[in-house]
Amino acid sequence: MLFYNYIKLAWRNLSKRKLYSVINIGGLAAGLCVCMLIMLYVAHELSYDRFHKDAPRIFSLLERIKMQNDTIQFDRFNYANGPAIQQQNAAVKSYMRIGSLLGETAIMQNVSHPAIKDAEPEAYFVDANYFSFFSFPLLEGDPAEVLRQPFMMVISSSMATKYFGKEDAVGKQIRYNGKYTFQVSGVMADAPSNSSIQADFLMSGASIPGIESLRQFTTDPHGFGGPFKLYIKLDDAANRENVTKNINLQIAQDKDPGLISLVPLAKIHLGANFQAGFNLRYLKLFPMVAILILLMALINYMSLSTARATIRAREIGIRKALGADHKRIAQQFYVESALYALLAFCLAVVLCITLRPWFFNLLQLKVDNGFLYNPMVIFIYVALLLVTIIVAGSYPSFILSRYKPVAVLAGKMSPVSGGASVRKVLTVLQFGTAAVLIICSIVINRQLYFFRHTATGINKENVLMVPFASTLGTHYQAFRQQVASLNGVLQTGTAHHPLFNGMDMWFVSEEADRPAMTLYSLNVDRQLMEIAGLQWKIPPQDMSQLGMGGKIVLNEIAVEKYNLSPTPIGKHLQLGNKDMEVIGVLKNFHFVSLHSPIAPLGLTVEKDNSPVWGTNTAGCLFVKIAPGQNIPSLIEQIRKTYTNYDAQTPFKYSFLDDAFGKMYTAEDRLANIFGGFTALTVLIAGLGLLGLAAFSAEQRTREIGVRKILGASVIQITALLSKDFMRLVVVALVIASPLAWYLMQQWLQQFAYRIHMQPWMFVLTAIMAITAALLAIGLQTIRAATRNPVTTLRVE
Amino acid sequence: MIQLQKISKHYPVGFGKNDILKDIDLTINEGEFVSIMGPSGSGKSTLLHIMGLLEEPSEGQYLFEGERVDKMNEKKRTQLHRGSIGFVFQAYHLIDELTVYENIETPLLYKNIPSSERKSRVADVLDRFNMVAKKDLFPSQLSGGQQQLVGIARAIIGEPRVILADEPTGNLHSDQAKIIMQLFKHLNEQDKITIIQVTHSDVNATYGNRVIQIRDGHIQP
Repeated sequence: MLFYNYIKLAWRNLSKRKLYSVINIGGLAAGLCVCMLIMLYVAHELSYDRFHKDAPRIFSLLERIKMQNDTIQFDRFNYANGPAIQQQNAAVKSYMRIGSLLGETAIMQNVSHPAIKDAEPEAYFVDANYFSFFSFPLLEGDPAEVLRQPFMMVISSSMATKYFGKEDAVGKQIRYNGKYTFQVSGVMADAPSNSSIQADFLMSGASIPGIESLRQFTTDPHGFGGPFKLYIKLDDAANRENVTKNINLQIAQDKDPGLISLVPLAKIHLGANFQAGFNLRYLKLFPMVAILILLMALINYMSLSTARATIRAREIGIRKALGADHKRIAQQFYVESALYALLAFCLAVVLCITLRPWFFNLLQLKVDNGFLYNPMVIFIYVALLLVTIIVAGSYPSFILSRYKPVAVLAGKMSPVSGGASVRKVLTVLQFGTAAVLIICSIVINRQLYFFRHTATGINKENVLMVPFASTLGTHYQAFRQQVASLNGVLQTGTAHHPLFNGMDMWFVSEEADRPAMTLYSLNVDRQLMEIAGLQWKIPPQDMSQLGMGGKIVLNEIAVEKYNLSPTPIGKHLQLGNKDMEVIGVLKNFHFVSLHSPIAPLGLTVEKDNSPVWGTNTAGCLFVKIAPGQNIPSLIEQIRKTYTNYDAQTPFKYSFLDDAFGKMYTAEDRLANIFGGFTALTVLIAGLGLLGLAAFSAEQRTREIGVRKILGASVIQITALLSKDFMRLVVVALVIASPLAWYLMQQWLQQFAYRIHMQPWMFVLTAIMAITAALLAIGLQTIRAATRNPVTTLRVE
Repeated sequence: MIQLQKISKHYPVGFGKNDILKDIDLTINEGEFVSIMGPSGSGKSTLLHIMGLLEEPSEGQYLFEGERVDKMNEKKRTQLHRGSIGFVFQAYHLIDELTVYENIETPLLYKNIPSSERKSRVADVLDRFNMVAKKDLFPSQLSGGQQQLVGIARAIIGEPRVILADEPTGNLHSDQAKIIMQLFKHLNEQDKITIIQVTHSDVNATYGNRVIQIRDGHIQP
């Protein structure tokens, strides 16, 4: 009954003081919502691959090879490695080879409707026991049989829809790379978003010997290294060490310099995977930020509640005089706080569900809708609710229940006694956090701007890249000629790979006074060098040398690293078994992202590159477009030309400047997220201050009235009320600045090319924080300061 | 019923102290209607607070029904607030967020009285004070006199043995004050409730049967 009474009272207080309720509940809900979203993301990252029934016993093989100063990691193995390992280790119950296609694009085509055709990046050759090895659900077909025979294929349900529409896919045929016809034997569910294996097409491993371009991989019996990812399942995870030792003995016998380790399936996503980059680095940071934001929201909540308590002091006094002990008072305020916290939580859940698509879009992450009901997520949310209720309720009820009744009833109560100094500390903490985040945001954004706008030494404007596959065959020059003749095309060039998207690499061996060196290389033509606008440091004496075989152009770093100064021209290098003569030196340019220092690079220049690559290799056509062209129509023309020569591989293109921008995706995401966090933190801190300022004004109503009667101006009153708060904000800034400087100094260290933090960043932060604080305080204080003293003094 | 022996009260001020009450000896018997009078700052309110256990004396002994109050723990004091002592304040001190009905009911909630009994007791009191029609109003919707009636209703609902009233009519005009004072007299005579009031008004003091004059912390003979 008393409990019902508490709730009723809590509700009346809530609706009576709307501003505080909105600040209190809204602020807490915003903090909780962000916390939930981040936790959802973190839980998703941590849940990778754990849905497999046997996950603890499944391991992925990883090989590390030391090469000079670099360690190189491989997760690809030979066709024979799996069976050999199982044979020699009783603990290995089964193995799974997943073969991707070594640079070949898989082109899938509906045999009965040839127009339905696309390049499919997620197509793999797998062993027949795939569906018993992993726990991916098979929707149609017999798990033991679907991949047993050669040229059988299992497709995901979304691919079934893509290729066969509403028809039943099982029994239909799909043509692979124009030559091989596979029978669809089963349909599997799309892989959950927290799976590191995202297959759309599974082709039976037994088909590999029947495919010309892949056959060689099955016949190479010796040594490690190959195109297959290799997973093994142990009888007991405890045998991991033994098996690892055995395998390493085995590879030592094979004179393989590498070191094998077994990576638990559930750790692949976050640990050993070399693409983990973004995930790994920020997965640790995000929960901290989430907790910080929640903490700020809770602090807000508590400090507002205790501030409000000074207004409720009278009520507490009366209740004590009427026979309430401090336990009852504590209960009452606890229930009240808990009720508000619960409301905030519900609001946060609604916000979280609404904002989720937007948030994951910002992060450029895919998370299944169903993941929200994952037990881990529900557990985290319940924990969040409990923590919120416990923390939000305890401090206010503790402070409030300790008021002495007489002090209040006899009017001797000095209202600031309710944890005023605690509130000051909390305010400093909040604004300090906000200031740190503002500085971080500024620095991250400046670094991103620097990445995007630093002169890289490459002309990126109006350059279209059209990669082509081996299916273009011998038609490259014809295709290129035709593109070059299109209206609006200024120039065309060729390179082995699209720029900013991988390079070839050579190990240049040691010679007398020349240290060994890793040399990036790219096979290009002269036109490409012109399109990219590469600058000569030492141009070749005879430009016609460009395009003759056996010649190489180095960048300045390569010359320096390989000790070729001062006269590099005419010197020779050994690239593998090829002898190359240096004929020119290019000025350094950034051919990879600014994360890394410029590395040694050699360009081999050809007149016509296609014979050099043979017929089985792919390359990239670069098209320089005149400014102001109708780009979509031009691309359409290029596409038509392309399809004339290659009906097989679908047409793809990208712009050079987009490809450049994509290298900074991780920083881009970080900037977006930090921007969001910062805005929210400033909002929460501002709301908190707004609430405190309102209370301060309310408490000092009478003082303000008296001062006005004595002749104080509105400005003087406003200054009087703002002064204390501004002092706190300044203290917060003084504490936050060096901290943020240190944090960002650490963050910047990871980039080879980085900005220096400037004083203006801190000044701007100070201005922003102070403005936010002034806005928050100003509204309330000016209202209080302009009130007619006659009405305020009539209070009581 | 109430025995004060050598009660003193002082507050520290700087390095010295400010005496409010000095060596008060006072006995109030069951059924008395006592008026404490004296000029502002004479210590009469402090005396009332001490009697109501809202404040503790600096020195001296206080016996409530023969029991030493300074020896009581918090629990026992709370018991006295719940069962034996009712308060009426000059500023009424109703809880703004509660209706008339709920304000009156609150002491019963703290006494853990079952719902049905609470209902009938509150109904009785509302009836007796002629406030049934106003039971769902909030304090801000009532006049001062009506608020003080609610305050008194709330003070007597717990069936206290003594009511401590701190200038109960201080904020009221004379007609309302008269009603309130008659009510106190009635409670004293009919219900045998001991009443101790602090007042400035000689008229109000005439309702009681004993007047205690305080000046500078001393009881005037």
